Amino acid sequence: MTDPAATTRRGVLVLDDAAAADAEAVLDGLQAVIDPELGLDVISLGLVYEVHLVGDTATVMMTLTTPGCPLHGVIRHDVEQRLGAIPGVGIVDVQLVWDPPWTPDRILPAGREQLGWSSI
Amino acid sequence: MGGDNAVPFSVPARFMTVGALSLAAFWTGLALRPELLLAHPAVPGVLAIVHVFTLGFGASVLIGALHQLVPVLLITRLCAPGWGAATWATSSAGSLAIVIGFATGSRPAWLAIGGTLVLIGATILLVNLVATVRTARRVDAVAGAVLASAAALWGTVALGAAIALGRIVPWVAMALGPVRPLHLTLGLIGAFVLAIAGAGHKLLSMFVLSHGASDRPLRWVSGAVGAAVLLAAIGAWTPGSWRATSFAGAGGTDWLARGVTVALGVALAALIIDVRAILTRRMRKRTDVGVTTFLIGVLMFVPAWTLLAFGRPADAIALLLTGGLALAIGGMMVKIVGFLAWQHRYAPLVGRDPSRTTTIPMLADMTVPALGWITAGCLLAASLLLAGVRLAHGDAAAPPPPELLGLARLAATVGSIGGWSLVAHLAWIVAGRHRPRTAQTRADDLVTPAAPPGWKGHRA
Repeated sequence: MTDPAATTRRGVLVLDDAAAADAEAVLDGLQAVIDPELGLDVISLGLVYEVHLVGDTATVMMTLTTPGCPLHGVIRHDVEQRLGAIPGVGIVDVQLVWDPPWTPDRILPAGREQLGWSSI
Repeated sequence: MGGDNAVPFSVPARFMTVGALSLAAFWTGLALRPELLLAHPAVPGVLAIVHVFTLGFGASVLIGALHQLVPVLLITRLCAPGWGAATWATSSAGSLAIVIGFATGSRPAWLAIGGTLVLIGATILLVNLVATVRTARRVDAVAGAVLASAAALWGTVALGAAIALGRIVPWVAMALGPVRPLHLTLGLIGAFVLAIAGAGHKLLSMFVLSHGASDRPLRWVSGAVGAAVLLAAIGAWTPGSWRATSFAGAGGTDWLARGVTVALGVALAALIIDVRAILTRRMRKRTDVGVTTFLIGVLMFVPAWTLLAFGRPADAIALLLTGGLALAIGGMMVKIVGFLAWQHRYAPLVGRDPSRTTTIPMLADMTVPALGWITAGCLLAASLLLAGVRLAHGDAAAPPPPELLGLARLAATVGSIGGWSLVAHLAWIVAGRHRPRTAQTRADDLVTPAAPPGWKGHRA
């Protein structure tokens, strides 16, 4: 048995433990999940902290920009559906966490640009 | 779908529909009869159109937002979402009865029945919110301000119902005393301005993606508004001082009047500081039409308060209604109604076909930005022009300047047409009769089977 490989990709800590799914495909799936208010994906917003890929299980530890966000159910459902459609992913476990709290520092440069701060 | 604390779409949507229609009706009324804004506040027609605004628009939007926002702020579930229908039915029917009662010459029976119905609705709401608060782990400054505004709304409605009852039962009027100014202060400042400050702190931060703004200024807003209402209450029940101690009568020489004006000034300064702190921390550079309209509305509080400080309370109230509250509440209503429409029509599509790369429309697609900007601009212009007409007219018996009045009427007409058009656009979306371009693309992708290789499509 090998130790799980931990890497940081697109601002997300990815733990790959004999995963059946391709980690890049999982991150692509997450990047297709859009916050409908901001028009930005959850990766660019820095909402995804960790992705654990163990066998056919994908566990996503993510947060939202604010606790009690009314879009939380929609975003969670979208993550579950998109990751569930990726070959090799059988179970999707989305864990919403509030510690550490999200801060704007987590927004990726591409996200900042889309939010209108390209000149800064 | 919707989350642990989601409230059914129909609960806030009912209130928002009444609110949007009432705002459009209010501006249509002013477009048809702008001189109403110059008439004495006790004239039945003035009271009718003011209650279209305060009950039909302001209270409806506030109650609808409370059903949705309080569980979000408290991170809990609304105790009884089903009670929302009863609140809506009683408060809407009561509001309509009050407006009809005033519009037909202040008919006491209509006003008393309407006031009672609205009070029943407000009481159901208050009980629902109190029960919800009991399940919350903590109540922060934002939730505190919003809940205080709900309590102020109930107090306003209770006073209004008592005033209406006093028109039928004289001893009730005698026992109450001169509480109309308190009714006005509690409603406009305690309910609406405090709700704008509290809900605005949360919603503005969410909409512009701002993080880390302190809630200390909001605490000052709450405290100062509470002080203003308290002073108005003392004034209302202190013989001989009521005219000078209310928001309606502030600007006089009485120390209570000055106290109210100072307290409102402190609240306004704290509100501006709070909004500025949120905006300077924002991560979303451009503000959309809803947020911008909200911000303009908040800024309009400044000239309204200035008029109050210079002893022109009636002009201050007129500008507060048509400029400050209409734009601030209207701006947030655009955002909330857009969210509700999106949640109803498009949230069920999210994640349905994850292999597709086409996107579901964004919340911003729920409105027509150009129409929104034109509407907001015209209503702002109408508000300023009507304020100008009032100031130019003064207390003189001479007719108001016809050029200004004509321009105000034109701006109000275009603005109200824009408002009706925005309502119709959203209604079309909700009814499934109209889809924004991105939604059309998405829907076509969902129902159109993949084309066979080499297929060129139908030719005309």
